[in-house]
Amino acid sequence: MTIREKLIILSDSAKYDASCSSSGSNRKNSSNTTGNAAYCGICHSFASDGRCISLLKILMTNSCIFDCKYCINRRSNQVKRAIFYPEEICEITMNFYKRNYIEGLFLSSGIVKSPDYTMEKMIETIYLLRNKYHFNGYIHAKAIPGASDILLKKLGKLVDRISANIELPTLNGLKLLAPNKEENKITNIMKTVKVNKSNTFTPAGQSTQMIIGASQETDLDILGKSESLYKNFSLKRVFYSAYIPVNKDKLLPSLKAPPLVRENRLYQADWLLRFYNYKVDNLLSIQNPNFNILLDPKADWALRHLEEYPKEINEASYYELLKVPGIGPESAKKIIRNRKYYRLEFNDLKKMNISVKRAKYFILCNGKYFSDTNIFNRKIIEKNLILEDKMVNDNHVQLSLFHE
Amino acid sequence: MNNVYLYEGGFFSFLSLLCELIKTKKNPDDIKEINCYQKRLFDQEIYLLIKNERENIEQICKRLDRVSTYMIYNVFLSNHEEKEMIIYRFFLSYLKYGNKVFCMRRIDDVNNLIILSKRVRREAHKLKGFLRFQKMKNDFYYGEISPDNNVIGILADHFKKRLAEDNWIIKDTVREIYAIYDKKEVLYLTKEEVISLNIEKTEEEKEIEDLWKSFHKTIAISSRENRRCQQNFMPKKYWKNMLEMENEK
Repeated sequence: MTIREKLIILSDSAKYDASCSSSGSNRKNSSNTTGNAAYCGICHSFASDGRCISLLKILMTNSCIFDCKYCINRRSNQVKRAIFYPEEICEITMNFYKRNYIEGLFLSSGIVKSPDYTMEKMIETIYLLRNKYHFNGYIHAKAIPGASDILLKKLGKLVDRISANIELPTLNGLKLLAPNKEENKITNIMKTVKVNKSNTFTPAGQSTQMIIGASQETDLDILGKSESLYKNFSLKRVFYSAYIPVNKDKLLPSLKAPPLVRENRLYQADWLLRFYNYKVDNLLSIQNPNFNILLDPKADWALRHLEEYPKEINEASYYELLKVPGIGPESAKKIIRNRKYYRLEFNDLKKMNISVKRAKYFILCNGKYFSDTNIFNRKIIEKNLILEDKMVNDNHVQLSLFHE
Repeated sequence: MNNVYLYEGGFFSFLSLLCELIKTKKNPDDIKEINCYQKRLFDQEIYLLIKNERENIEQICKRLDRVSTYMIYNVFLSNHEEKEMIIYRFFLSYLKYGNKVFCMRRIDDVNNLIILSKRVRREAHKLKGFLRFQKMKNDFYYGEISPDNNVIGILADHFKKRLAEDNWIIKDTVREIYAIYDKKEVLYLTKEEVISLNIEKTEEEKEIEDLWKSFHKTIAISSRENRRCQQNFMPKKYWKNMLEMENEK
């Protein structure tokens, strides 16, 4: 098998992992090494699905002793299998990095022989890359559930980020679709990484991923899980990956298209948890456990609390500003910095590149509403917000739902 | 008449002129680099003889804090036609209000400076990812860019830290300038100064390029295809220098 054939097989099997982030590490270049890490992360290209390509995302091997229902590499699938030797991975990484194709390596693997054996091979590869090839760029490695703690600690010292995928947010889902995966094995990894994290141990922290739409979980189940993961294990990111049917199985749903809009709503809500001071309880409840597909969660929240609006932007606090649809941390800071010196008008916002497309319905600028106040009406605002929603427009979500 | 003040080119020559204009309380209608200047009707060209350029530069640097120096430098690299006057008028506001001027975006020149500075940094950041090197037979890595703004210096600083152990050349095909690194320092040369450049790829190069193209294609999930999103993040104007986009339209 040629290197090219291997690369195709082993990147094809790795592509369902959503993470390609290269941020969060300050790894500096030192003498006689190649590479450094950029704290903000750098995207090197974009694939035809619109996703960023930052890392050489590959599996060491796609052979696997596990048989997870949703996974393309499960044991029972008849797919071409390949394995990379450590030197081969190092060569490709160095060749790509020096040509500036990539920011670093994202190495994952199917499980061969045993979790410990697999992880040892991964460590051997990364050790070689760091010490023989003197590679000092970004490395993200997947931890293998069930591998020993000693190996995990070895790995953590070599890489910038470790991730372990939780895959399904409830134990039932996991039992049903990933019978070989146990949640406590994943959380053990997260605990070890959390306890050991430092400037020399996974400086860019850890992340995880959940599959959206392969099982019966609600958005409340998923986001509730994320909230507790952020809290308990200080995760940097939770990634959400719309379920794409690659296997036929009576336990799996048959979908015409991956639930991309739902995935996007979860990302939007995840952002609200991390940067906007929202709690899951603010957004979802047992009576109302799923997001409105037609509106982003923040707009949806604001519409349900319309009695708090319109807010005068010259007086609102930072956190009140953050709750206005269309205003993010950057914009809120600009508003607060500038209003010290003069009362802000609508024109001032536009000038500072603050988008008022959605915000205008919820704010007063120096006492003025953007239009006739008749418009301040739940139905009208909702309709306009839906018409302007990027996800709704891009995915041609059936607006008939709304017009009825 | 329009009083157009000319400077020789380069950031320091501009700073020195800026200082001189303020010290002597001149009222410029325009400031232009000699080489880029095209005379218009009613233009009065003025070339100030500056006795102590170094002193001027020091004086102006003392006045500016880190943030404003950074922003002025970025705007100086931008392709905006009126960048010099934007900086000049910003500087007047800066002298009046100090660094709280950055919170007074109602002042047009302050606002323009902030927006232009961001635009330059954003393009430089994108190119830190999009630039592609090819390995040449003479053991240099060679890459071309065609940016809107003059960001080659920002990129060279980035790669000097990152690829310190290799020789590389970046060429800005729009401005026809080269940044050449020889494992020690970066040298900037113009087209005239580069005598001969042997850009011949190594034999191995095509294989590695094919690997990258295969990877780029394979990593996309076809059921999620979204070309519009791809183009939003990676505008078409950059594609001509990106190996993996060569055959795309």
